[in-house]
Amino acid sequence: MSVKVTIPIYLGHYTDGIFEVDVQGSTVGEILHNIGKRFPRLGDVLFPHDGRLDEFIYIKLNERVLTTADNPLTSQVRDGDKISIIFPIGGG
Amino acid sequence: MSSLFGYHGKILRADLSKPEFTIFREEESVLRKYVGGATLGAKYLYDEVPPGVAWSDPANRIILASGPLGGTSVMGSGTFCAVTKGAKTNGATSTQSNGYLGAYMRFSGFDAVIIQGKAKHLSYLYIHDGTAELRDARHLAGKDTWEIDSLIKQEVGLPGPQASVYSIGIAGENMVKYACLMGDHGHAAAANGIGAVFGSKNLKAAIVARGKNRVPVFDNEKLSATSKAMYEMVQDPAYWWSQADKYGTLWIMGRNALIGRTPFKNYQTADCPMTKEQLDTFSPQYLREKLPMVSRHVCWGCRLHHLNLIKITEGPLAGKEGEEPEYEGYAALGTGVGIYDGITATALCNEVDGLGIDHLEIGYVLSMVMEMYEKGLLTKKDTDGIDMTWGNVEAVRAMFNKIARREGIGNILAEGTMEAAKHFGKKALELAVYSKNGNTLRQHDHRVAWTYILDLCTSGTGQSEANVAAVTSVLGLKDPSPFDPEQIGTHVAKIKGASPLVDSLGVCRFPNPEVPEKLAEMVKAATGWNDFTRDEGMKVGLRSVLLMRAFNIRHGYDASVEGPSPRYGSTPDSGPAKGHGIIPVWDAVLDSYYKAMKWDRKTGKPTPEALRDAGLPELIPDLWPDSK
Repeated sequence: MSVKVTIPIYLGHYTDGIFEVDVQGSTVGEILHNIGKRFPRLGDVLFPHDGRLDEFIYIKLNERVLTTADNPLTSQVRDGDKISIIFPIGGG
Repeated sequence: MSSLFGYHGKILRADLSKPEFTIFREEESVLRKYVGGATLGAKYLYDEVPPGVAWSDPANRIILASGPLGGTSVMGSGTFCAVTKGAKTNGATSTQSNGYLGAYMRFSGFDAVIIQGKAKHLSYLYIHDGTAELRDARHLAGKDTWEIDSLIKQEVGLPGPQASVYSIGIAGENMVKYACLMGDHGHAAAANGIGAVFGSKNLKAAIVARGKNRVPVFDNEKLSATSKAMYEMVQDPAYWWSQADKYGTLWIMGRNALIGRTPFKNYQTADCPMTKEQLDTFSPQYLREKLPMVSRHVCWGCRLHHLNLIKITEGPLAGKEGEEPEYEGYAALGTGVGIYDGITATALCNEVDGLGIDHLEIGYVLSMVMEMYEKGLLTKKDTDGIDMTWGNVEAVRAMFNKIARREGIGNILAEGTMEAAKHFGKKALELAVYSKNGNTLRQHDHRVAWTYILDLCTSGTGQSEANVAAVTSVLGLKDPSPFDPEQIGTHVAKIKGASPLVDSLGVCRFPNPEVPEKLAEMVKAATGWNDFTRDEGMKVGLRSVLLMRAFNIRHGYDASVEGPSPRYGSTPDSGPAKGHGIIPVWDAVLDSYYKAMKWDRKTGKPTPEALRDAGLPELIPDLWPDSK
């Protein structure tokens, strides 16, 4: 399955300025781990502790934000799906 | 006035010089135009403090104002806004604080309190039962802002939640230019030296009894339902503040430090210098595991788990009760000064709170001194023997105590980052992080967020005026291209008004973010103004912006200085903003912003058209005396 993943602009320095990538995988978890393999520093941000997705990062699958209750990493994806990594920033 | 909803329609005036306490009724037309909080306060400040009156003059005013939602069933409606001519910029100030005082003021029968004059000696203002009195506070001199809470409550016989106390610490008594007002155990109204203004009036504290006057609400059922809908929105993970529901602002450090938004080493780098283990000590999970919890620390009517009361575990306050700091405190007195341990930073933040000093400004003051010390621009001779090496906890502690007491070098640093840099000379001015109009910037590295630089450097409040990121998403706007001067200017102009609107309602931004549609619904339900719209709400917020700016210009504000200091606007050599600096394009940013705001490019004055559009034509003769 090929999925288009959007990376937030604030994480662009971890991806050499690339903000959209096509990634292979059958679940959200696989997709994100594959991104982490391509961009290891981004992988550290996504999975800082023992392979668990950071509690404060959200995943949007097509138009739906996956909450913890949705077990985002195990969510199945289909060919042509779109994933956005939501990296909340605070204050200012 | 019997049909007035959402207000008592009564304003208390406290003249400390006489002392004398009077009450006046405010017209519904005035309340509708200025609504409350920041905007109503700005109107009173503009009307009552003429040019020539300095911040420390007894003729200066302090307006503590709630709003039509204050003390109602709306979550977080204990908020008030303090408006004054502030010490740091000697200009307009708007600074809000949460907790209980705003609600209790309303329960005491007042929508706002105007404080003027100067007490003969250190005193506190006691508001209760629809009146007020001034009491001797000389025995409370030097008391910290935490212990004074119970001392004053004991004196008036209103322990615990029966009253709300906001006070100044020793920094306010010594008129440190960024002294703040602390209350309800850890809440702060911190901007622009409001604490110094209290000090200049010999006012140690204000205590407000809980009172029994309920606020007349037009449609309580609808108000509660709208508040509930807002809370449901707050919990939506699509919005950043959903994090606040669980952890307040504790989650921010772990994010911002990784994306060049946390200031490190006085803006010398955008890369996080901490190890993963050090960064983890600022995580909410770590802090809430290691800091013994006393209780949840909730504000009036709020369900968010924003903060805990905790036991402090180290330093001179070890064993005492304190409060979990916010992200900004951790950045100022932790990571910003090279102290990479969240538990130690917790202790330092609580000590600074006790002294009554704004975390934001002291963070930049200390990091400037540390960089100068690192580079040999200051030596131990200059720092009164203190080794101002990055990360030296005892040095930080010694220095903030000197600042609070204006001792030695502390007397210079008590003037704020920019003024202290001017004292130290050219090299200090090059490396210090400040806005040239004296406004205090938040503990963020804004070089990756130019909208914030523009907002701060043109704000008339002494601090940031717009909560840019949050407002952008709820207004349905797209983020501007981050380094495009034209887009930056027009974007900030579009969102102006949203944050001051919240600050005009008597509610906190966490459970009530800047969603003008929902806020307008709440105003309707509270007041019965059924034709109050989203756009009218945005215009109310904009009036606050324009009144503050007009006030400053009448008082001699030089708009030509608006801009970031060389370091604040510098070009990062790493992080997401690598290679992008705002200073080379600053004029273009201002061109775009002034044009969108309809401000005169040469003088910075809002044009007659801008004032008319905002419903403030009465200001035109003041700013444009030759205009017909």
